[in-house]
Amino acid sequence: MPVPVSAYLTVSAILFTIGTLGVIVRRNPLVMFMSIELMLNAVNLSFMAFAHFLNSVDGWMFIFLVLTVAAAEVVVGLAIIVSIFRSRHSINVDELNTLKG
Amino acid sequence: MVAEYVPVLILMGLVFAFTVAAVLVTFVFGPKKPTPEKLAPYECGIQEIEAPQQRFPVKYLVTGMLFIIFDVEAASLIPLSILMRQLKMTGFVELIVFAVVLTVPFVYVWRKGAFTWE
Amino acid sequence: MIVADSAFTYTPGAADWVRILPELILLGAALIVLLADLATPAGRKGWLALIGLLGVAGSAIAAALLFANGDGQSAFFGMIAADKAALFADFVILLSVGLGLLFSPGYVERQGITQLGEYYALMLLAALGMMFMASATNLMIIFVGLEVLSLALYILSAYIMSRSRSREAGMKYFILSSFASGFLLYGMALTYGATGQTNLQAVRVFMAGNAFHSGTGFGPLLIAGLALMAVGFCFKVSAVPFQAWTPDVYVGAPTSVTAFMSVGTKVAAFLALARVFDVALLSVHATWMPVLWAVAVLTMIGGNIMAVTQRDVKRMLAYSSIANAGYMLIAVVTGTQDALAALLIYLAAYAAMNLGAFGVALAVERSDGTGATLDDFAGLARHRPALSAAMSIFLLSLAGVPPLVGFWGKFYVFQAAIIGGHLELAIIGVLTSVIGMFYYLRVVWAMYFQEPRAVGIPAVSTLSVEPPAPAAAPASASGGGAAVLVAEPAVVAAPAPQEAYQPPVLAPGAWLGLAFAVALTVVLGILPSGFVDLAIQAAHTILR
Repeated sequence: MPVPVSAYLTVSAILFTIGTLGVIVRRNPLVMFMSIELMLNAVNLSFMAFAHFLNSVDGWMFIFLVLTVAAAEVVVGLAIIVSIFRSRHSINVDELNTLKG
Repeated sequence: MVAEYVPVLILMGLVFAFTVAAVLVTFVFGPKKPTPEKLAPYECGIQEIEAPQQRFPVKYLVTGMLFIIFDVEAASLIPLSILMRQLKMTGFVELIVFAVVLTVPFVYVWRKGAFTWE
Repeated sequence: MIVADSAFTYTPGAADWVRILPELILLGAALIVLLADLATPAGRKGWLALIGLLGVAGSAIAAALLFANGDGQSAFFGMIAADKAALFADFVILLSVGLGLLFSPGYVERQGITQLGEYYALMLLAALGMMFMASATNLMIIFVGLEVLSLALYILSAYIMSRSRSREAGMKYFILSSFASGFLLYGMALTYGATGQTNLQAVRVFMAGNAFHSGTGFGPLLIAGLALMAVGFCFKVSAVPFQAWTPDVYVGAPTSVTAFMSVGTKVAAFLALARVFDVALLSVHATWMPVLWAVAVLTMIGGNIMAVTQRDVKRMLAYSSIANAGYMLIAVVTGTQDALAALLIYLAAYAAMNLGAFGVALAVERSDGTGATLDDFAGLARHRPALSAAMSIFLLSLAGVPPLVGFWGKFYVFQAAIIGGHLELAIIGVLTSVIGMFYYLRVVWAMYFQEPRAVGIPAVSTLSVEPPAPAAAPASASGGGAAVLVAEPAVVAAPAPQEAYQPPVLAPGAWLGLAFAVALTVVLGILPSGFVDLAIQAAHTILR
């Protein structure tokens, strides 16, 4: 039995929501960051399902771009997180409170 | 018109219910014996032997990050390689532009000493 | 829809490369800056800013030639438009990055920024991303442009690694902005699923052909996609209720970067917003209009009210940029051709006056990044008359006082809203502008009619608030590959002498930038007809 496109979309929506909740609930940038990656990859799943279902190449192209961008985000994000960690020995976002107002 | 929205509402409801349920179930039924090690984001369940007072191994991180960047960029070449014949000269020019954009930062990080291990 | 094994009916050629010439020149300049950085000895990095400025100038000339002589076609399978709207936006972006580069030398050294080659290259690359996003006619290019500009700006916001406020700004911006990118991307995925297209023109044709609930079963998908894209874009233009990151990032980032990004990001995001909502999704205007209407109203009211309570001028300008995003949203909500012309006029006006205001804040700022509060501006006119006059012009223009360019931005936006049937938005806009008048004029009042601060006392005490930078920390372990990682010891500036507060001497570049911004604000304010005509021509090409 072929898997209907709605099944892929539902899985993708669930993954996306888990990622969203992860960013909102967790207070550790590293975990928030992993949640963001989960969101991006949930979107990739949607693109894949649509591209297959619509028999269109655009979705596949989009996945390439998202993958590349996600890798670049990993690098920049980790660099910023590491630099904060090195200066404070803690990366809990609740302690990032120099900026207020 | 309104009936069109019923599936999306059902889907949103299902998704939200599933996510909340998953969190709730583990919250209610999961055994909780928290230790600082387990709460750490990169826990592996083993107590640290000593606090990592020594310097963070940044050189490993730099190498790893540069690897990720240049590794993933290679993925962008796949579509181009498939269509190379049809794109003719344009494809070649695109390839050159891509290579230059990648090479100049490579030279930059190299001359800045990011690849020297010691 | 391009099916994999079908032959192309059209192969991109030299004409396509010409159409993205402004972008290519800027990219080349960024790469040359990187290479030149390797050859430039420390202390002579000002040359890199000059190379960057030459690149910006070359790019602007290319854009001007294309504006006058280009065919306005899109390039590379309809991925990127070289229409007049894109080129107009390119101008505004190039203006903002050019002024940002002019403000940088001197300021960056004073703030203890090292790795200047990467700094200038990242400024140019961020501008490149903005230009791509502003000219994108495909969801893919919108996303790529957005990410190019965002990634460069994450690093630039965190660039003063020795200062915790800057690192935090980078961190906040990074987490919240990539979170928003996730929403935007999901919205794009659902829109693609509903229409089968990523090309905006093709989406438009599809939408016009099938009223979106014509039994394809994709109606709900499209609604969800629209909503998610709206959330993502509202985050990027810092509209209320998605504005929380803006003040923190604008205050924490180096001011030269703030000045540039407060304008450039808005230009890029609003052009993309207009192309997606006012062009591709025009046939479902009634569906998305109430949502953006509410966001516009909230943004105008919220931004202006929160700005009133601020005493830090940089933070006040951050909230004012939120409020200005509200006025620009009016144009997007209205969505007529007049409104898009008004949007372009507003963006150009905003670029001149806002960059100028941040430029003055940058000139007043101390080397530890503090010192731009209302108290610091008190009595500024006594010892810095030229600077105070410039600041007054920018603030009056932001407040919308008639002979200045800011007035024309507001005038055309409100006029287009009234003609387009959104009288209520125009009324709310005028009323909130009156609130805006209060906090802008308060700074002018402080500069001209308040006594300078008591001699010595506050100036010296605030100087020593932040300990001399934990930068000496694990000194650059691995020879600085990525500047972000390497916190070189900051150049601790000499403490100010024990006398009344004296702002640091401005570099010639910064004076040039301020003079240019003043000239634009005044001249375009007195003689607006020329550039208004250009904006109207440009808006015409969006809505073909």
